Amino acid sequence: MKTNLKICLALSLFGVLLLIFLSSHLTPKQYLTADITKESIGDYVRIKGNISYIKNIEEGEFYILTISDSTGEITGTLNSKDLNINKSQTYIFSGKIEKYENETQININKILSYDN
Amino acid sequence: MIIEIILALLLGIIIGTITGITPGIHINLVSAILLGLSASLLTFVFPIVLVVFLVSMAMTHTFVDYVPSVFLGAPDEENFLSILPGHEMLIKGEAYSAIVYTLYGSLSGLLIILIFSPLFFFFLPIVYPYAEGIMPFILILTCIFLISFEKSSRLWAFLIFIISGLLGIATLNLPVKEPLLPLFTGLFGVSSLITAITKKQTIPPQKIMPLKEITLTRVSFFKSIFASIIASPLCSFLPGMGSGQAAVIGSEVTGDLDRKEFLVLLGAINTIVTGLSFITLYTINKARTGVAVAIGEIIKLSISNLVVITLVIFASGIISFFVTIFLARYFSKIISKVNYQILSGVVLLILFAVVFYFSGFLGLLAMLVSTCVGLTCIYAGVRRTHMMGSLLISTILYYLL
Repeated sequence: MKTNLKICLALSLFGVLLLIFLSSHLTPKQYLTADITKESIGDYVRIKGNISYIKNIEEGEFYILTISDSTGEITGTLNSKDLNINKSQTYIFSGKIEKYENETQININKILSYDN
Repeated sequence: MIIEIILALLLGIIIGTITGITPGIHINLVSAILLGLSASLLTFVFPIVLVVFLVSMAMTHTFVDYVPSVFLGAPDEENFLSILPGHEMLIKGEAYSAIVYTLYGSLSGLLIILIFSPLFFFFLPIVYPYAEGIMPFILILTCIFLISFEKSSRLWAFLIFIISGLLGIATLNLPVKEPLLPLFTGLFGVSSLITAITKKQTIPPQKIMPLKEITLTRVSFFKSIFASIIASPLCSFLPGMGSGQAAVIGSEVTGDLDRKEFLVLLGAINTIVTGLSFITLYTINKARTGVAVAIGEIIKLSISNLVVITLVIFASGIISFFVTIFLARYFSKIISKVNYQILSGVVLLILFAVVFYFSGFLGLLAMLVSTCVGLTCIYAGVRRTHMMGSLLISTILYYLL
């Protein structure tokens, strides 16, 4: 029993570290906003685009923004206490496609600035 | 319209029975799939009809899912605690009685929903804004209580809690669909099945006693019900808190419960939490169950909708009681005749297929790691509720950061 416990504990620790590594290094597939449909709900995606509209709610911790690319636009939501973004800059938005009031939107969990 | 509602109620009971009896399928997963289909469904049915279907399916699922939990050792995150007393009773040939005790709890839960709905309705909007401000601290305190209640080894309990927390953070941040599916299937389902297979468990013939002989003393019954009344509101308004932890807290507050009392408590909590989640959705606009999330997306709840939902909860709950009795009798008759190892192996394959279908290869990897954590918990001999750190730590960090 003790050997089993040690093996399982070692595998658990190794596995958890592997998952932490993968979760911070794996990037989801890049989409154009026009490619995002109701079938994409639940998918993790990356979108390259600009912010055409931004509004903060709940004392600056919750943001609703519109992401635009050459094919269209999509609404995004973001929880952040310290958001510093520039409307003229292009960004890569990563997050999960969700449904809100019959519309698809992206629940953003990471924003990276896109240089070139 | 009334005929459509009755048909939706009956269809919900049929689908809830199928999802409840299928190992590893959680009602939240079914709700998420239906939510994806709701746009097409709403073109030919009224929103309230779809809501009736969802409520009826969810209630039936909470009644029926003790059958695979007790007979196959394949619980989901809300009834994993039943596997311990339930499995002990299965090995003694008393699986049928174990399921009947959870059903007694579920039926009592229906009455408690009726009694406590008005209280929840009036007091939750008043209390919740204050509680929300101190939510992470309430959750931290709850975690400390849960670990300190551990009778075997508090160090192992703490270790399992932290490892599960890290596992939860990593899995929820993986780019996979339905990340909770591999997480909980591994932690609670696959690890139990592997233990059953490796122990080469044999199942004796099961006793099917008349309902009037499956009894509890009045003190035991009221002790369980009192514990469920204390514990259920915790799940209803604390995010990340599952019925398993609530059951442990309820059990500790009322004094140690025996197997039968604990099964009644679990049955009651699962039914109450599902029932009250619709009141929570209406009063504070927070969805604490997957089915409440789906309903919140389909319809803006009104008082009249809540009345319909309450009626559906009762009707589906009472019908599900008899459906579950029938299933428990059937399984009791056949379980000792099948090879339990082969049956567990088949269930294991079903779980792998379900996780692969919904969450892909990365989901399978997350499930394997979760299985290792689940096995570590079983071998360390501490309560499996500590593995709910997988959700609780993420929730606490969400509030704090």
